[in-house]
Amino acid sequence: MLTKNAAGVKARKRLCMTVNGRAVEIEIDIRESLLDVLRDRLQFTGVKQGCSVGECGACTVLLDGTPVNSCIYLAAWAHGKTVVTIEGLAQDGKLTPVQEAFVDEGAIQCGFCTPGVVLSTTAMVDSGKCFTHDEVRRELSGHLCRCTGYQKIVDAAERALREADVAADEHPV
Amino acid sequence: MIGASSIRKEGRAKVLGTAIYTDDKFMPGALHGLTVRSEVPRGILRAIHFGEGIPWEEFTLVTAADIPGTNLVASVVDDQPFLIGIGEEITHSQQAVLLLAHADRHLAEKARRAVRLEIEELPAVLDIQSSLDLQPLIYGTNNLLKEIRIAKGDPDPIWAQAAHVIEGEYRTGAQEQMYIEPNAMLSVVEPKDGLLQVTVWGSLQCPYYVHGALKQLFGLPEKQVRVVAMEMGGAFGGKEDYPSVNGGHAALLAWKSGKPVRLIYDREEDLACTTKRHPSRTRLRTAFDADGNLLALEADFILDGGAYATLSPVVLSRGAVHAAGVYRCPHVRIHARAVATNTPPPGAFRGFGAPQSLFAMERHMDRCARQLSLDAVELRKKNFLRMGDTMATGQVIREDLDLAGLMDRALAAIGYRDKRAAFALTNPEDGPIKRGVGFSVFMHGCGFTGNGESHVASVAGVEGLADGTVAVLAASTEMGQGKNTVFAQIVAEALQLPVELVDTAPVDTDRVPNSGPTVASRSTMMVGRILEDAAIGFKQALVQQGFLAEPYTPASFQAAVAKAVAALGSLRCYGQYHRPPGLQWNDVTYQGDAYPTYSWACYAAEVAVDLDTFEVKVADFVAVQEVGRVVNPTLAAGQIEGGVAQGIGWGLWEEVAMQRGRMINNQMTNYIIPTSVDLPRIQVIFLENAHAGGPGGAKGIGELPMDGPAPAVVNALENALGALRLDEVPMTPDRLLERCEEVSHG
Amino acid sequence: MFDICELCEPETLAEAKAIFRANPELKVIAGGTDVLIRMQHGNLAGAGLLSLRNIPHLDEVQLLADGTISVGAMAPFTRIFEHELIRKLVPVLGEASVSMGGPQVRNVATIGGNLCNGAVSADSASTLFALDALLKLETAEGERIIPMRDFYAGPGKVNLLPGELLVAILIPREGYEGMGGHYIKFAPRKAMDIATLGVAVVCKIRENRFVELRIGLGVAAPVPVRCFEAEDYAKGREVTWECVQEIARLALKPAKARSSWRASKDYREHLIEVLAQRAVAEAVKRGGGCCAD
Ligand SMILES: Cc1cc2nc3c(=O)[nH]c(=O)nc-3n(C[C@H](O)[C@H](O)[C@H](O)COP(=O)(O)OP(=O)(O)OC[C@H]3O[C@@H](n4cnc5c(N)ncnc54)[C@H](O)[C@@H]3O)c2cc1C
Ligand code: FES
Ligand code: FES
Repeated sequence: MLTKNAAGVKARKRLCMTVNGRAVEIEIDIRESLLDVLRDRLQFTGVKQGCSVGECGACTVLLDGTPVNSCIYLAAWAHGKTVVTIEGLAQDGKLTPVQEAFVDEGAIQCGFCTPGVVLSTTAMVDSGKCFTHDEVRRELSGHLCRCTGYQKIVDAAERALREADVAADEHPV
Repeated sequence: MIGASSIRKEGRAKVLGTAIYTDDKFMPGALHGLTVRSEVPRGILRAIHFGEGIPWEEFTLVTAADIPGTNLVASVVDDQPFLIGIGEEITHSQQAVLLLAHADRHLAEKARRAVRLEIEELPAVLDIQSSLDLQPLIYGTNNLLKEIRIAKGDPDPIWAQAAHVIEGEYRTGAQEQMYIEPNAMLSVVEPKDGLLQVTVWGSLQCPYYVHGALKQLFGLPEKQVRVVAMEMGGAFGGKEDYPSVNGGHAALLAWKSGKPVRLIYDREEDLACTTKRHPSRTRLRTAFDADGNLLALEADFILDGGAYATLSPVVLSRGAVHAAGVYRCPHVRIHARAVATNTPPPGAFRGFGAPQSLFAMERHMDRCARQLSLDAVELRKKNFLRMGDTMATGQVIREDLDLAGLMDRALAAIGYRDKRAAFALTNPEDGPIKRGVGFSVFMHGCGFTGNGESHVASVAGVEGLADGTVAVLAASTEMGQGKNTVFAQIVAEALQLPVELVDTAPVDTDRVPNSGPTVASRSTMMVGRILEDAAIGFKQALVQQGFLAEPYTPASFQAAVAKAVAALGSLRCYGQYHRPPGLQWNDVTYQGDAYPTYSWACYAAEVAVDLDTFEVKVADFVAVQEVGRVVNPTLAAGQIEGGVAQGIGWGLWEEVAMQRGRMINNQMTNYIIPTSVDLPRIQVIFLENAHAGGPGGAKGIGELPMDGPAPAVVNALENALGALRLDEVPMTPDRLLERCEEVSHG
Repeated sequence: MFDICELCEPETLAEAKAIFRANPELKVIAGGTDVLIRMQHGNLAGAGLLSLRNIPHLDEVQLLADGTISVGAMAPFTRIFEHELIRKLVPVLGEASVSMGGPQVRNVATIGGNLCNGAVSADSASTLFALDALLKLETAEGERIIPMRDFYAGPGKVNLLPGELLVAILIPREGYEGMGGHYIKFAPRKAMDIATLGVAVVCKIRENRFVELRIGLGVAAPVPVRCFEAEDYAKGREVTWECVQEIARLALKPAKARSSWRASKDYREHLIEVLAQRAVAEAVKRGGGCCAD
């Protein structure tokens, strides 16, 4: 239980998680953040790093469906969990409706905030809840974007939510 | 193609997460580089001490003594060293002294903290006034990095005769670009065919700036240096001049270690040490006749240029040329100075000096209207520049300019008259919320100031590829503004092809020619124009060499290109900048055509001020602009919206707090840029007026939206609150409280 | 990469307490949104971490038999403000919860971490002060329950004994029942920002008189404070606009505002008064009172 180690010896741990639908089992260093593991070891470089202290949202991933900042989340904590990064959305190169909405609405400029914002929007859509305009803005407020002034981002998110709503009406579960 | 909202070329890669930014590039065996900086604003470096407990022998260390070529960053003036050596003078708190690299990032960080610098401190200059007072002298003979005088007529006799003379002083603070991707560089330096080959991949706006800096740093010829621009997570000018510094640092470490090196700044370092918008102080003096006609204008425009000249001379010149605003005035004198201080050098930031001087002028016009008891709209209408008028530099307006129409459009869109009337009734009522509307009218010169374009003599080209598609060859970089898409549209239009058949080649100095830096709102208009020529030349070459017959279909064109490439090996065609006939500029007298043309705009803002908390909320915003022909409406609107957001941020929240010459709020939670819940919907309106100079009639657009929001918001504040000393941005709640108390305490 | 020498992840509370007793030098980590930031800034170098994340049930929000609301120390802020019990019974705590950070931070940051971190700007602290909340603290030896105001020892300092864990926050029925409440977080930006000032007010109104009023202030002094003078003044008084203004003036009494680059002392003091006024007026309204004179 207590993994005490002599000074200088790096404590290692086996980490099992599902990343983008694939089971992953790797040995990690307990000092690593989830961001470190996703980017440096698993090469999911779509996870961006803008601050490493939870302030920008660029490193957002979905953890069991919930957006979290992977830069301030210990990799060890992801054990047994499901992680989705931006690379895990499109299937066989086909964009999801959320991704399509971002491309079509011109919500992408430099693209550095994009993976995180798209994932937060995906979480909103997947929640099946309805969001008012102000709630959409609030749900995206953990993502700093310096390029767009947020307008087209909010437009894209609302469009994706609207389309999901229509789709749900057409195919009630 | 031109005028259509074509889908962003690299949008798909960005939304899939497959776009490769600098830090994403896989580089096995790379070391992590770090920079050790002085923490004092001024002093003499006496020694570098390496602390205990660090395996220093495992580290690559670079000091000034190691530099193989010239220890000066190639820029407008070569005065900034890459590294400060022992016995040399430290001139600001973020000066690089030592570079270190190790395979273990964690250990490298520990090592950085273990280095102690022995510095003999010297008295420092930390603000504009001390610099002007030579307290003490820190740069050259007068602490001036650059001085410019622009004169038209003679204002001196006017002051005594004029019905009204109105003076004002205005200040603007530093502003951080806050691109979301911090500065990042990778480098490999290795021998190739017996020659040293320096390669840098990075987040950079201007590959040929970095290229020039590396040549000088290593003393190498052109061929032995290669710079590649990776996907860029925002720049806004912040990756214009600075990459020459950190690109050089990365290359030095790679050279010394013989291994690939990553030099990726963390956010705190990026905020503390990289360039910002220049703080400014502007004193204006204007004379009006009894009817409100502007008779004379004098501007004393000062920028805090920090410790080295860097780009201050050119930022100053743009600021100076814009200082007289959009008004006709027979007698103008502009005195502009960039002063040296012991602070990290500011640099390029969207707007490049113009937002500073335009803030002063547009605030001043509202204050003048109040003092003249004239409506701010009427006062401007009387004095707007029109076709045939001359500007301060003597430039004659040759286009059919209708600023009154532009302004009316913006005012109508925001409901200016109705709102003013309504607020005049509601504001005197009880309750803490006061509302106001205000606006600003301004221009932005397209392309470089003066002879800049002629000096660069940009080259750009198009190349046929084996599959018959066409690649754009230009050193302009994609930083989110949409140049990949816009260039493809311009070339596709010139060749009458669908935009899918045109793409841009990777921006690599081994492959693309020097089409100049990606700055100054020049890419679409200047480089786009050259590309238009190159494309037409390319088509003619195909026809002349018998590969293509006109008329053609996209399919036959593609087949022709494929055939030509197969037959010739490669097919490229280049165009080069030619100064349009009739444009004249004198660098010494600052007389002539400062810019080939200008974009024009009127921005209007509605604000709600809470007099309990002194918070200001922007409730509505309208941006009307004339930017020639709009190449891609969606991308263009995105540029305006983002620029307006930055402008509002600068006007209200974004404050760089300095202590002993060092930024102390260098975190994203402490330097306040707007989030999605802090901004209103921004209404963007384009008035088209095809300008002959740019491709398909396009002008520049990138920087314009930074100029107008701050004065529009502060003018709206004055409408809400009455005459206060609203002379500074950011107008934070604290400052606003202070201004209100000045009035209530007499 | 964080400078950690070990990571303990106990699966039960008892196990956690035992490890913590044996290794009191361990640093407790909950959501990590304070701890990991401090490490990123080079503090806590080489610490061993005791993570509470694998302990079940520590994040639950419950209504106990005696009407006490128990909020598990490990409850993240998103859970709190979305929780039915909180929405119905203590909406003011929901207001405070949703004001903190941004969505991704709220999904991970816990209320226990917010309190134990000891920051004066902690958004939940002033509200829990006003709610007269109690803290349930446990060591391997036993438990103690202390009022919020005995918990704060100084800037960034809280009264946790060696080996002690915060297990739950208890809001007794008297703390919330029949109370109107309002939390105002004042910060330059409306998300992802640290409070310049936090004002939490709860009050009980009968026949338009104050039966009870409690005010908690964050960032007004080195630790969160209650405004007892103002509260005593209000007791029994009729709700009028003058009365609310007087309450706000008295609310300044415990304040020890300081100037910093974020805001000057003058401005902070001004804010305390006007925001206390606003928060009281709104809480009164929600409590069924009316302060139109
Ligand atoms: C981007 C960002 C924005 C933020 N914005 C806000 C904001 O708006 N308002 C605000 O108040 N805070 C804010 N914070 C700070 C932080 O998120 C909160 O204080 C949060 O509630 C801390 O909870 P945690 O679970 O992450 O604590 P941790 O970081 O895990 O722990 C914090 C402290 O509490 C101790 N601790 C935690 N749990 C226990 C326990 N059960 N028993 C004993 N000790 C314990 C730890 O040892 C540590 O000292 C922000 C942080 C970030 C990164
Ligand atoms: S990198 Fe994680 S929030 Fe900025
Ligand atoms: S698109 Fe550049 S930061 Fe959002």
